[in-house]
Amino acid sequence: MPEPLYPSLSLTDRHPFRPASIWGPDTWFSLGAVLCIILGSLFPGFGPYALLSATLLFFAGMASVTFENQKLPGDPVAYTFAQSIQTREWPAWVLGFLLTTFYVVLYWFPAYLGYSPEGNTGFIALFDPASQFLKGSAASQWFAYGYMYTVAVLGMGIKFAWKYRHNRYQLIRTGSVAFFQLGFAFLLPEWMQRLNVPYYDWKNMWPLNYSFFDEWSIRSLGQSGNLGMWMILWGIAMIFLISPILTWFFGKRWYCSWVCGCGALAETAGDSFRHLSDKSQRAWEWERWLIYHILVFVTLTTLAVIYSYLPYAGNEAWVNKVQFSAGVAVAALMAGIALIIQRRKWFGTYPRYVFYTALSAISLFILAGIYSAFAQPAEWLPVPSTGLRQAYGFFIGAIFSGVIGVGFYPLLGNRVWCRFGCPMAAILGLQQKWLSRFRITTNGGQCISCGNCSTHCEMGIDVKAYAQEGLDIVRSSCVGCGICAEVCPRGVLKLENGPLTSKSSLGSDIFLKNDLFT
Amino acid sequence: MHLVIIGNGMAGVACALEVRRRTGFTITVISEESPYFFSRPALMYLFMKQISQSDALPYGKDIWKKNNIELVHDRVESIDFEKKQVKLTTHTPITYDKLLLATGSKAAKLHCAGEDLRGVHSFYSIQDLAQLEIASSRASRAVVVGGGLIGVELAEMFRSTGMEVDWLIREKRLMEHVLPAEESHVLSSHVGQKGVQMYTNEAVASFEADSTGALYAVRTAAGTKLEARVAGIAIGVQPNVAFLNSSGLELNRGILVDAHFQTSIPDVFAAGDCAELRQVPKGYRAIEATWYSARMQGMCAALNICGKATPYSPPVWYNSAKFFEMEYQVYGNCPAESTEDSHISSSLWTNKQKKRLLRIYFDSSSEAVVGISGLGIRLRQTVISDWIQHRRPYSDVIRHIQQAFFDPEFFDLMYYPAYERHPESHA
Repeated sequence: MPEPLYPSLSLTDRHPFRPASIWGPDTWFSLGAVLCIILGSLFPGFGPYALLSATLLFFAGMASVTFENQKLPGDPVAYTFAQSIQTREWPAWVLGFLLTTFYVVLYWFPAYLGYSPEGNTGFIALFDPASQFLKGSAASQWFAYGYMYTVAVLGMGIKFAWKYRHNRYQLIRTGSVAFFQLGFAFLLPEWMQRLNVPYYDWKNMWPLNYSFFDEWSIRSLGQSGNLGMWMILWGIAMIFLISPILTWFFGKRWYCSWVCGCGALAETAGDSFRHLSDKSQRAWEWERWLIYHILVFVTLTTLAVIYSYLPYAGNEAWVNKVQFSAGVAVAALMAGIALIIQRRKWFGTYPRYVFYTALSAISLFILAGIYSAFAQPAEWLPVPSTGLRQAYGFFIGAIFSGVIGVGFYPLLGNRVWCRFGCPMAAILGLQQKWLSRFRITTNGGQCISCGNCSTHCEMGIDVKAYAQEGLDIVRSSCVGCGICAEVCPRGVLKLENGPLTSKSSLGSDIFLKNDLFT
Repeated sequence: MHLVIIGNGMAGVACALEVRRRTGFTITVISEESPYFFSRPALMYLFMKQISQSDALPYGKDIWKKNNIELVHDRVESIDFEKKQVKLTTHTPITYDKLLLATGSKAAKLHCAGEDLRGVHSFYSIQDLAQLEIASSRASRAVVVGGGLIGVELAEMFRSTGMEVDWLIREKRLMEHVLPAEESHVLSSHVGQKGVQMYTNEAVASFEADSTGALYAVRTAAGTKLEARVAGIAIGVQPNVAFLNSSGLELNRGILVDAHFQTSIPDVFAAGDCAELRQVPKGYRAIEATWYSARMQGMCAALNICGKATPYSPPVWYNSAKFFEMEYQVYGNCPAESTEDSHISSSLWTNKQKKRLLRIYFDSSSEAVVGISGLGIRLRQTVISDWIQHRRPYSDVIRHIQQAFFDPEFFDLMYYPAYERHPESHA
């Protein structure tokens, strides 16, 4: 009997009509890894070897999928809806529960994992050898988290790369996120702490790194010599120079699916859940409402925090409260003028209240800026900045981004944070929509409306609705993962960077509309 | 003005939506097969559990109410063209001012013993899909009959479940009348690598049943007995017009229509698979049973129904398919074999592994390009169509061929970027 055509790349049986089984080789290897962790936590003698064995077992499990289908590379996405862990059946709920619980414990009850400043025990202690090796001190719960996160990206990245091995774009992109996660988010910052340099992830920029402008962060970097100054300048350059330029050329995909750590996990470990992203119109409306409100929230919070620790006018400083407030007011005014000038082009397709809401938000910044420039209150807003920062850090940074963002993969898809919450995604998305050369072009009249593209879009974009009308896809939420183009059976979709003016599928009218006939 | 459309496939729906965009007509769409318009090409992906049921609806469920288009899920028994009434099985008769017949195709039958056994099914409707799913769940071996595009889809569907697949083809090589020899050969070996056993010069003699009356084996014309508990029949389709046979409407194989999709009876139009064009546009056939043609015909019929007389003038003919992992696109005039007296030559370009085939067809004397096909590569339709429409010379096309590629980024880096002339090609 020849090899079945589409061996399971997830955790399941290959025949779609029998009850799906989750007991593939990768499941067994992963359970073995978990067993090592448990043994290591309980028996200190095994401790030093536990993490290494668990890591190797996990990688072996991921690599085992490559042995299964040596003979017959199959269509990567067959069986999406036959595998119980991918269709919100009980394995999905169990996994979701475990992930969520783990995040809650990690964030707020690390002592249960064995973390203690006086000396780790249990689970966290397993990471001490690795931590000593990298940064010369005992592990914190965040080191343990970073280690596991990186291993997940690398291991599931192996599986993802195997699944899409015939697609060069996917291979290079996966290599990129794996590199940035391993190098920039984990190894480099940890190792540099050995040199008494503050922890710094060079690719993590504001507003995703929402505490970059906090007083403790700026002071800590400022007191770390030249390198620290470079880190501050780099962080600012990323926001105002590097990111806008890269987004202009490539769209927001340069960050969201090639560099970002959230994206790294989403594209590798989260790939199995991409089809769970809600494709409805209602979800799209919620998405925009929520993400732009969070953007305003983080901007207000950050400005208020900066204002609170700046010196009053008259003191020696880079910038004082008055200059800062005036600067904010001017910047907001310029932004408002830009919106008014470009209103038709940028807001033309939206109901009027969208434009007026944006203007109101900007007016808020202008008013607060002007008021503070004159009155120099202790706080920029009537609400204390520390309270705002704590609220943001707890609700958005921890609960939304962490707990819900990853814990809910098996239930809501792999990009919930990216789609509904990330303020950086909001900024990059606006630029992608208005000022970017990136788009997904559609190939004339070739679309057969099969729905594969929309099904597999992790951002919940109804790609099919554009493709079947021959329209380009220029959406603020598109992260350029390229899976829609990959799964399209007729080659209708192509991710392209092109001139700004040609953002319409010229010529496709003759296959789809009536201009030929009129 | 009441427009009634029989059939909610691509032709009927394209017409309904276009008429709605232009007028305030009352529009009723009747379908026997399904309550909502679904993508027929998506059926195979439903079978393979690649998409869900809602993903297979191109416009979802809400668009009909939003656009004030009434949907009737019922069977049309007969049409009284005198009274302008459509008679249904359960609903009361519907009177129309204008009628569009978009009843699509029905699968051709083999007319051999055992054809109606449980487990032997064609692959056209969603009812067929359901039957195939049921039969496949009990089968470890399958037989596919018919070496066309649907046959390949069936082979892929059956292989995807792990079943062994035997494929019976009447021709002496795969798609003998559609593909040139090189493409046919590449495809055959690709399909063979996927675990499909292909039998050429073969046909079905009979289907044999087990004690419960379900399929258990297929006996071929050559006498081979192939065990199988599911068989997919894909030997072609015909217009679904039998119910109109003595209605007064002028029929041939399909419903005869002029360039405005008007039938022999005033205010009655036909479009899509069921329509047969009296005047055939260059490069097309009288009955063009493709998704793309249905869409274009439906839209053009809509214009004529709205009173805007518009002759059907489609662009350069095109079609596409996917054979397991190989995508195929064809534009213009691409004859399978160039005979001595045909005036069309072709030049084949492949990469080293012969997994990507680009073939350019041109007029032997003038060198004007008349057709282009691609196997394993993606071609940009607007560019290709423009070249063929304007009969660009072969040398021009080759010089600018990069403009025509629609493959993903980094595509060229993976394999050898240079295309070589196949030693046996012309010119």
